[in-house]
Amino acid sequence: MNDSRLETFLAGIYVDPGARAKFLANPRGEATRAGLTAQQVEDVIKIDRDGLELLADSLERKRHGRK
Amino acid sequence: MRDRFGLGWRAKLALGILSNLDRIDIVEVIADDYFRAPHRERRALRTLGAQTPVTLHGVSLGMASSVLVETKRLDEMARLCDEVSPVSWSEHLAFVRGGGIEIGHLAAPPRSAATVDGAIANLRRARKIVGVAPQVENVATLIDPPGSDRDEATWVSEIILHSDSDLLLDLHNLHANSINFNFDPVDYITRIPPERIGAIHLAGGKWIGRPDARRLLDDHLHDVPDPVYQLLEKVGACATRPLTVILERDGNFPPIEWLLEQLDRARRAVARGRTRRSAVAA
Amino acid sequence: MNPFDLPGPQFLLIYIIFAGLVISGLVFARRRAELSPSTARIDLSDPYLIAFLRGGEKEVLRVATVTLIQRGLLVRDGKQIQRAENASPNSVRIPVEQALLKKYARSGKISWMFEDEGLSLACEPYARTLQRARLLPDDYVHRGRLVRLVIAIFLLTGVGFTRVMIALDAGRTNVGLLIVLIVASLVIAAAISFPRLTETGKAMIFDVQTLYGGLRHPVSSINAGPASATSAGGAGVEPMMLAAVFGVGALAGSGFSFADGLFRGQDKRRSNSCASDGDCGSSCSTSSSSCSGGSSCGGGGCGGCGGS
Repeated sequence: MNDSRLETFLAGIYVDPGARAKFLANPRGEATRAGLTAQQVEDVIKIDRDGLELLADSLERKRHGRK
Repeated sequence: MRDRFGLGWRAKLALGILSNLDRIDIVEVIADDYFRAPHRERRALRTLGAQTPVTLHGVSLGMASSVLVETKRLDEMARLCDEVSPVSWSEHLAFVRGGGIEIGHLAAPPRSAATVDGAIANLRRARKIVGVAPQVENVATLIDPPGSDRDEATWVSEIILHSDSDLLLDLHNLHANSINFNFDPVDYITRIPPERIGAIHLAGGKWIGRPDARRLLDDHLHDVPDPVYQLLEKVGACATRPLTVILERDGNFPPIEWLLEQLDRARRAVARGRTRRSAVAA
Repeated sequence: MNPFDLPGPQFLLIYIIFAGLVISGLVFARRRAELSPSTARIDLSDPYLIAFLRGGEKEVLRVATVTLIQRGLLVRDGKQIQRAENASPNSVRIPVEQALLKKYARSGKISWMFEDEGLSLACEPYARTLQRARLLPDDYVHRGRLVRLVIAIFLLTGVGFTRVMIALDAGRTNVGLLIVLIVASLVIAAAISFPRLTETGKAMIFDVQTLYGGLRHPVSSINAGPASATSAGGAGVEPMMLAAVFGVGALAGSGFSFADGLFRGQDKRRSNSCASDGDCGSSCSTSSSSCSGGSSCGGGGCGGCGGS
């Protein structure tokens, strides 16, 4: 259950700019609110922010068919 | 059976591919393009299959999720396989959705026991529903997925060893990940069970991001870089079974002759690897 | 109740339904007999073979003419064409192209090509190849069609003229409409019994148009430069294949303005017809998935396997 919550959480911050902004402003709070385990919260707050932004941008481009 | 070398089937490449079947052993078709296509379009794949062997490549099942893939999605793949009779089919060790959110592309899941177990369960179901196990492909990622407690080579090996699925080793994905996250791609290759490497993808990409935070993006719009051919030679030296090598190009298409030359280069790389292997064995 | 004893108008209605069933049965039986369970294999890189499949020798000649004009080996002057000064039949290797260059050593009307025996002969190998692949009817298929038609004729005339004889025997002479219906049903039965293609042939055209759908998107990007005879599947061959698969009319909007109206009025069939029996393959695109809810991939490919 918690593992699927982590995937759901990641999917959200990957594709939803609002969710991502909230997370980046308050990583621990948002991760905890999403019901992640303590370990998952610790992992998530250390997320590679550069990679996250690049991935989000790349996914946005894909959705809009831009190269 | 010998090694096979082919191209990804793309509408723009159709004439080039069909005009050069003497230099192409197999084509790979994106399965998702046909799941909801009219019967007439799916039948055309059978005609293509009469010209050259076809393998189907799925991109939306999300096999490496801790969540079970929906049966209806596997049913779609099964129906397409029944209609087209491909020589094989493949999917990705990725997750593509979560909690009803569609990511819109292949994302690397957390490398954990849960996703190993999830992948194994999904692959088992896929085999049961489709009738044959898929090959599974390693994905490129711009972010090291949080929640990971093991490295990629370990994670992939665990899935392969506990399922019936062989690895479709995407060498540009491996190359990109090794650069982006600082690990040795050759070490990765040596840690994969060599008898379970069944197919190879080759592609190219480009650098993105700020100069101080660049990442290599696997975009399938560029030529295969030299390091990938070097990795291919290494795989040729260690893989114990015949390989199916597919060159992927999704756009920015060069003349077909240019793609065929890259394919020939791949042939030479694998041949060099095989020769080295034979020399060592002798 | 004996249908032959029904009043005239009722029998006519019954006969119309009967004729409809016989003709439908004829079509169904032909399709069933001619649709091959295995997939035919022909050279899908040969534009002339595909043009012949789609529209017979006239389509081959249209495609060949456009190709030779594009390559500067034929020159157009209104409704006439002529071999270019620097060209000779030896400039080309394909027999139908050689035959065209021979035919138009001097200026001549475009329409003449459709009546020339030599050009017709040059197209015969394509017919034979397609017959061997059961995409065009061969003698065996023809015989089957004839047998089915004879059976249909027997049924239609047997029932119809039995009623005519009964009516005449009873002194009723108002059988004209029934005779017209009998003749009409025979004409329809004959007309639908011998399509140019087999069912497998029709399916093959649709498949080829599906596989080559990418040639149409967008037409304007096709290289109108000289076709290279040696580059297999290269950019120069694209216009030729586009014309072969979809008709010369498909070149409109590309750099082939010389092809506009080239064959207008030269032949009763339109240059972009797909098959002589009026069936046209779809112009559907292929391998261009929209990124719908289930698909993670961009149109026509993965767009990068992960991380992009």
